[in-house]
Amino acid sequence: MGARSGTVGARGVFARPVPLWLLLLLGLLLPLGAAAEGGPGPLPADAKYQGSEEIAAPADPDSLKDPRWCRVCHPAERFTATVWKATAHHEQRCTDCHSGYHFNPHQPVELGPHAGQDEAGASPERRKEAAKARCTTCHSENKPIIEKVVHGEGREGSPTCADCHGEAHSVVTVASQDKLAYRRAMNARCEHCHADEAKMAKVELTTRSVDNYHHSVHGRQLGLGGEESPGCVDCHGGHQLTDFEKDGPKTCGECHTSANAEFVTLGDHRRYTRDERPVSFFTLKFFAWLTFLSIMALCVHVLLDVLATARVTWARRRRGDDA
Amino acid sequence: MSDRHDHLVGPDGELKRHAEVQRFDLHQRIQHGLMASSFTLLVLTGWPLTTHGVGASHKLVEFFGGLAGTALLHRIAAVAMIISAVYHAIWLVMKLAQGRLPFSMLPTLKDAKDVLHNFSYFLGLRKDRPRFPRYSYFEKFDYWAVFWGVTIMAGSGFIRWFPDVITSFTPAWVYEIALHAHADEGLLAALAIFVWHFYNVHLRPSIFPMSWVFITGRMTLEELEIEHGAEYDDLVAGLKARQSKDEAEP
Repeated sequence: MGARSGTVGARGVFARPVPLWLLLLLGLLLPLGAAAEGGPGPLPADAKYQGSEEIAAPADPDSLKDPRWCRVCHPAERFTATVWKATAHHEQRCTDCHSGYHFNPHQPVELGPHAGQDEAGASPERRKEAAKARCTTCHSENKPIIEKVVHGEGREGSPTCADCHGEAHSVVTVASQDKLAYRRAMNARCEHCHADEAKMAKVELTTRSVDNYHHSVHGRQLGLGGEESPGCVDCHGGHQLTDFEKDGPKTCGECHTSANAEFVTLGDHRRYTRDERPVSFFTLKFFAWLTFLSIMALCVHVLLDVLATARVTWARRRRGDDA
Repeated sequence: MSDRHDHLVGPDGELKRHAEVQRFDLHQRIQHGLMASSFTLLVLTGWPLTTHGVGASHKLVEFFGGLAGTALLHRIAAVAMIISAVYHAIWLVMKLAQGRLPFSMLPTLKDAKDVLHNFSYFLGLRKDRPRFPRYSYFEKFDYWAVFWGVTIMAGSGFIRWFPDVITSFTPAWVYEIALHAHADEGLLAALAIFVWHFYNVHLRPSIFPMSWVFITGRMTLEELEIEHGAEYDDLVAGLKARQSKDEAEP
C-alpha cells in the first residue's frame, strides 16, 4: 500500500509536462510576436494568457489562432487543455470551426472579436445550418449522404450533426468509448427526439419504436449491460438509414447468420396489441391467465393446508393432548 | 413382501417406527439433484431478462459475470436439465423392460377422491388428512408439471436460442409464442417450485424444516405413515401376511 502511493506521488511530480518558466516565457513572447507580425494589435493590459498546460495546437507565429487566447474570454472548464485533449477534436483549434472572426478587442463592440458572424443573433435553425456547414468543412465525405436521408433534409426540428454525435466541444471518438457507454449514449440521442411524442407527431411518427425497443430482447440486454447487444444505430444505421425492405436480412444477418425476410419482421417494433401482433397478444394473455390462475390455486392450497394444520394443532392443545 | 423390509420388524415381531424404508434409488436421486440444481441456476440466470428493470436483476447479472456469462450459464444449465430429463426417460424404459415399473405416478380415481377428502379436511369437514398412496396427488401434479414444463421450456428455449434458424422454416409467430411462453412458463415454474413444492415437501409443519428423502432416499416408517398412509398400510399388511405365512410354514 505504502509503495503504491509512493509511486503515484512520484509520477505526479513528473506529470507536469512543461516547466513553468517555459510557459511564462511563451506568455511573454506570444503577444510580442503577434504584434511584430502586424496582427490586430496588442491585447488589453489586463488580458491573461489562459494556458498553464500544453495544448495540442501549435503556438505558431499566426498565434492569435492559438486557443489559449480564446480562453481569455471563454475560460470554461471544457475548453481547458486536459478536457479538450480527451475529445475527438483535440487536434482542432477554436478558429478551425469558429472561422472568420475579426479578432481585435480595440474595435467597437459591434465590430469586436465576433464581428462578421451573422449567427450570434440568428434563429436556432439558422445556427444549426451554420453548424452543419462547419462540420462538413472537414467531414466532407458525409455531405452528399446526409442531404439525401430523412435526417438531413433540413426540415424544422430535424437533427444536425451535434444532435446525434454529441456537442462538438465534447464529442469523443467511437473507438475511445466503452461499447456499452457508446450504445447507451447513442440510444439516448435517438430517444431525445424519438421518445418525444410532440416532436414525433410533427413528422407523423409515434414513440412506439422506443417503447417496444426497451421491451425487446435487444433492449433488455442492453439495459442489463450487454455490450454486444444492439442499440438503435446498430440496426438502423447512421447517415444512411437502413431500408429494411431491401437490406433487412443483410442487416439482421450481421449477428443472426441465417436471418431471412421472415426473421426481419420480428424486429419491426410493432406493439403487442390485438391488431398489430395478434399472436403475441393472445399468447401473452393465455400465459398470463394460466400463470395467474395456477399460482393462485397452488397458493390457496398451501394456505388452506397451513390453516388446517393450525386448527388441528390448536384443537389438540385445547384438549391437552400435548401435555 | 421382500427381504428388503426385514429390518423394519423387530425380533419380537413389532414394527420399528424409526427404521427407514428406501423410497428413491440412487438413479432417482441423481435425476432429482441434476434437475433441482439446473432448475435453480436457470431461474437465477433467466430471471434478470424478464425483470430487466429491477435493480436485483442487474446485481444478478453482475454476479454471473455480465450478460455474456449469464447467458452462457443459462445454456449450460439448460443442457444439464435436458440431460436429467433424458436420463429419467432412459431409466423409465429400463425399468419397464425389467418389468419393474410400478406406474405409481399415473393419476387414479383415488387421487380425485383424495383431493375432495383433503379439501374437506382443510374446511374442517373431516377429521384426518387422506391416507395418500406412494405418490400423493400433489406429488403427481409436480411430476407431470415437470413433464409439461421441461417440454415447453426446452422447446421454446431452443427456439429462442436459434431464432434465425427457426424462422428459416417456420412463420415468425412461432418465435413470438416461444418468446412469451418461455418467460411466463419460467415464472410459473419458479413460483410453483419455490412456493408450492417447497411447502409440500419441506415446510409443512409435519416435515419442517426440511426433508432428507431427496438426499438419502430414505424415510422412517413414522414419516411414511403420516405422508403416505395408504402405502404404509399396504407395507404393514404385506409384512403381517409374511409373518403369518412364516409362522404357518416354519
